[in-house]
Amino acid sequence: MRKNDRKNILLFVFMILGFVLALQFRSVMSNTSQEEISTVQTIESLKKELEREKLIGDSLREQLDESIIQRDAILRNMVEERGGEDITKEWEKARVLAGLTEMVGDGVVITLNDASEIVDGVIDPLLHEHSLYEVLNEIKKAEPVAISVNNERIISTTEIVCAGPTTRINRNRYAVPYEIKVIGDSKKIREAFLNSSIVTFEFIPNNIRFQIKDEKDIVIPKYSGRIDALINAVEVVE
Amino acid sequence: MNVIRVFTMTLICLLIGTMISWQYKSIDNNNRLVTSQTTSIHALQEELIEQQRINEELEKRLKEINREIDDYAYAKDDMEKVDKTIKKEMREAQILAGLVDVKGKGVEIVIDSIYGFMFYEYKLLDIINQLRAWEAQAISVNGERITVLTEFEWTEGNRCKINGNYYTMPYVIKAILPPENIDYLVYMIEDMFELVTRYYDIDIQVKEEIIIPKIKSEGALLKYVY
Repeated sequence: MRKNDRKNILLFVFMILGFVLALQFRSVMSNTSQEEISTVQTIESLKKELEREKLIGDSLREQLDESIIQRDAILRNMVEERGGEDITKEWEKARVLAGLTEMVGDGVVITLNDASEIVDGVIDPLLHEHSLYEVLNEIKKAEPVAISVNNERIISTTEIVCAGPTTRINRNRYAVPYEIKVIGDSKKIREAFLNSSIVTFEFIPNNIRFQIKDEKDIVIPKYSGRIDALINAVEVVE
Repeated sequence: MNVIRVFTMTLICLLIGTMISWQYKSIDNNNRLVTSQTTSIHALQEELIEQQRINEELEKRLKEINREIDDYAYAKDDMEKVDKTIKKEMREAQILAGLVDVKGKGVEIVIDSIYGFMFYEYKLLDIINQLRAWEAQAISVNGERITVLTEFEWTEGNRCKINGNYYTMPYVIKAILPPENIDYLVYMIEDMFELVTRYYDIDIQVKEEIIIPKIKSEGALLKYVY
């Protein structure tokens, strides 16, 4: 190797070394920059704020449930005192069928979730809103008494709408996993669900996770949203 | 001596090569971290806004219920008010349950097959869900009131079982919904059928008054209640 070649190689090596050092310096600077620190701080503060808002939400929900119980008790007294036995019975029947009363009974709990991993042959590993309402339709074929999804009571106006990574149910958003509680004949519901085309042709081939188990004394909450907003466009035909 | 020099140079070049590769990986990871942090901030902000909206609604609802409690307590001795309240509560529950005939502004969708193409129950489900998404307050299919537990089941003879009764095409779907949502709904339904108009005859009409009948039989719904 000639002296000149050695110099050229050394020049080349040190140029690369200089370049690497500059890159390293920039990388370290960007890691420790104010921007980086403030991003981490923003994430932390957002997480804390979200946690606080969730706690407020839980507390409001509890208060709302208590107030609804209190209001319903006053109403029931009114109906019983003023309306008599027939009116009370009719009122109770309408409320049960409308999903305005809490229901307790035996049935099944179905859990649905996206595929845990993408394997060969899987076309769509995500659980979509249409799958959810098709499952609810399969359950309805088994004549259930009451259904809820993530504790949201399914009523006659309940929509199942795709809202980005979540699903809108009764105007509230929920993400996977979906827990469907059903009160009714467990055997019939189990058969209807497991033999359905949605399970056979969509869930199993796409690795969508599902689980069904019988449970006793399932509690399905009543619909707790605003009722007037659900009936303000209709008028009763007398 | 020459061999040692070449060996040393090779070693240095190898080391530098390894360093460059580590460096590249490190910078790439940093960039990914920044991207994921930005995404995470957006997701958190969205979740926070949604939670705040839910809390506002809960607060509003709580105030309404508390006001109702006060009103009921106040109306306790006023029999006229008590009767009105009972009637209102009863009507609300009956409408939601589908136990009374209702009327209002809405849409009528008639779907018929052109060449005998089948219209499976999941397509009906799509339409019903779309109607609910646009806040339909009462729906019927071929005169069957759609309630909370109405099932759509494809059966032999190209028939669809609805509330235990069997129906074939044409399907006449009626829905009453808030007037401000009607145009959006019509657009969405037209969009849903855009690619299949050669197979089905679809007629969508907005009507000032649509009457939707109450549920024909309460049998299946009520057998568990009493």
